[in-house]
Amino acid sequence: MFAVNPAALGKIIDQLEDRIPGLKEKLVNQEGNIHPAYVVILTTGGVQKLLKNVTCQVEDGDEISVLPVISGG
Amino acid sequence: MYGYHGKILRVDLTRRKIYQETFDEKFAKKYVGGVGFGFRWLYDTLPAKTDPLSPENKLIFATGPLCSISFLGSTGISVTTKSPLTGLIADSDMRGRMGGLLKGTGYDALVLEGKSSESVYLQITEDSVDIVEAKDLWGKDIKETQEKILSKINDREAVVTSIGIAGENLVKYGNIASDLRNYAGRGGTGAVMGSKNLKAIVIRGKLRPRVADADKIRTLIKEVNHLIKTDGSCDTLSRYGTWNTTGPADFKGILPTKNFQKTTFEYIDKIDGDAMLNRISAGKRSCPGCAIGCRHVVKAEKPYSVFPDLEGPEYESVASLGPLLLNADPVVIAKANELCNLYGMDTISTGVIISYVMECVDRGVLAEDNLGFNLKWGEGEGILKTIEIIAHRQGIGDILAEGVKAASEKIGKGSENWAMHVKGLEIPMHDPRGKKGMGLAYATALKGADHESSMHDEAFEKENALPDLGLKEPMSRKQFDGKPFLVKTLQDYWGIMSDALPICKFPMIPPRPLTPARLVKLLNLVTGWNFTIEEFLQVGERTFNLGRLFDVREGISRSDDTLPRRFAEVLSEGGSAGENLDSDSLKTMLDEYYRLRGWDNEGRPYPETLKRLGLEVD
Repeated sequence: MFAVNPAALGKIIDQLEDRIPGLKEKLVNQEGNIHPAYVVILTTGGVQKLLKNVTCQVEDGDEISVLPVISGG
Repeated sequence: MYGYHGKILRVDLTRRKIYQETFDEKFAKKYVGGVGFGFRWLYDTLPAKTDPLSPENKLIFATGPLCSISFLGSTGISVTTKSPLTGLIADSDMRGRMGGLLKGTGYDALVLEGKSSESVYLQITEDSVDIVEAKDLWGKDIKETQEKILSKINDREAVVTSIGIAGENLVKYGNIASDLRNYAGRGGTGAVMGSKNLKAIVIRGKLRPRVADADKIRTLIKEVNHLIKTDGSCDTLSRYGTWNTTGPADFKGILPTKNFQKTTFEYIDKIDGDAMLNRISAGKRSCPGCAIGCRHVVKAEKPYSVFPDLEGPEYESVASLGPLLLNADPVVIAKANELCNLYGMDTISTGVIISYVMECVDRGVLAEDNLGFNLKWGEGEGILKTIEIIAHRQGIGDILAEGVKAASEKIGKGSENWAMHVKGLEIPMHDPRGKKGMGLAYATALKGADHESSMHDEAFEKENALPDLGLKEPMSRKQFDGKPFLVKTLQDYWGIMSDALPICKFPMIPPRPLTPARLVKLLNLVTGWNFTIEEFLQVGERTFNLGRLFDVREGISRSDDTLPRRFAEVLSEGGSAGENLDSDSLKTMLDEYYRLRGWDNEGRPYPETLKRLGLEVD
């Protein structure tokens, strides 16, 4: 788990790129949107919500998780 | 005809007679292959109420046109029969080489009927079909069976498909294994094979049929493989295999835990993808023609030795032998998986039955005296012992070998309330409270609770997931609206057609690159046909309805399209907290689903539906 400053999701990914090199290339596609193969889920007070694009705001105390859209079975 | 030989091999094991049946291109276009061929044959030849373990039942191994090439597991095969677990139609597909090599013998399908008076195996080549005495193989696990047969025939390139002792002992969820690592796991195909005294099928052949446009097929394969390697959609599947599912399923609150009492696991970090890679992974394997490579070799020495020859536990097995039983030890999971594979038992059904017994012990319905050993939640040694007594039908294992539905009816004392199945088939490792479409899919799947009958809700949370199929709007995994259309469409497309072609289901899941357009193009390049996506989907719809007609003939109606009451309980924690799937919600989805299917209120296809699908004159 990494702590970052509250910001739009795109800025948070920029902050995380310093600590996880290569993350941005995997997570953000050429159009600047979240890569179709991944979802970013925001958890606030136990409720999970899908963040649809990089402009979504993440507030102080929120947690975000990156998951593959779908996996095997 | 491109992509087909137009021949079906039929073997009557009672009379030891070999027959060759033929079909034409009109039939091929109508059902394509695999599960389509199997359902048609079963519907036409099996009278209602036939005992699944009687000689009258059929066991059908059917290839499809894509077995003519080698691409993303297309050399696999579809196995269809009447299930001894459910009494309904069942199909179970497996990857590996059997489909390609059966096609190589000059036949598109193999139909087994009757019962041999003594244990035998079947040997099929391009030139001959032989029924061979197999007394020395009876009682052997699948590894020893394969080694003995390959040594005897002195041919390491042949494919051996066999049952273990579970199939011999008619364990109702006994499976069939091919090349040791591919399993037709669900519904008891192995028990049907065992009931025919057939231990194994050995195949060698290179007579693949011609394809219509080999150059364009190569170009299309190159395009898809390039995307698999570069577009990022298969990266986690390639790295983790299906273990990429375990952690996310826990996070989202859909990981069956403690016999579906919970959907998150306290010790998830001990069994998630990284933990399994670190603890038991010993390399990777790929199916023929696959650029993804999702299959793991596993190995362990302590506290249990696990050898790397068989298939390692994929997600379903990790969950069913792990969190479902509150077991957090990857080595116990791997060992339990190995035992199931060696003995030839479905890991999903086995895990659900063990979790049922653990809950019985927890609630005082069963005690140590009933079992002969301790079986508390998470008890590794007890898990392994339970597998042993089921496979050998020892003690209470004889009851558990009948499946969770039958076992709970026998044990009683209210335990039916925690027997987790639909229509007798144990529920796979996806809790439907957090993914409503999967709940509807479980309730309506032809063979009972089947997680491979319809794609999973999470793939449709983003827009334009499968626009070619009309699936453009994003849908939350938790919502009900839109799910009947989603499930109906994907049962026809993903559930049926992947097994008719055949092809691996994984690269078809959006945003992965095997899109409907590319898949239909591939079929056309192999066969020389001009199928549209709509015509392709209609083959799936036709086959699904044929399966439903079979099940209706066996007495299935609306009241059977249901879910265990446990799913009506509201989840109190995790990523799906507050969610449930009760009978009212299911009823609403079913009403819409039946309407979209063209079925009446009892789930019977209307005559006009059958007419539209060309089923009324068959």
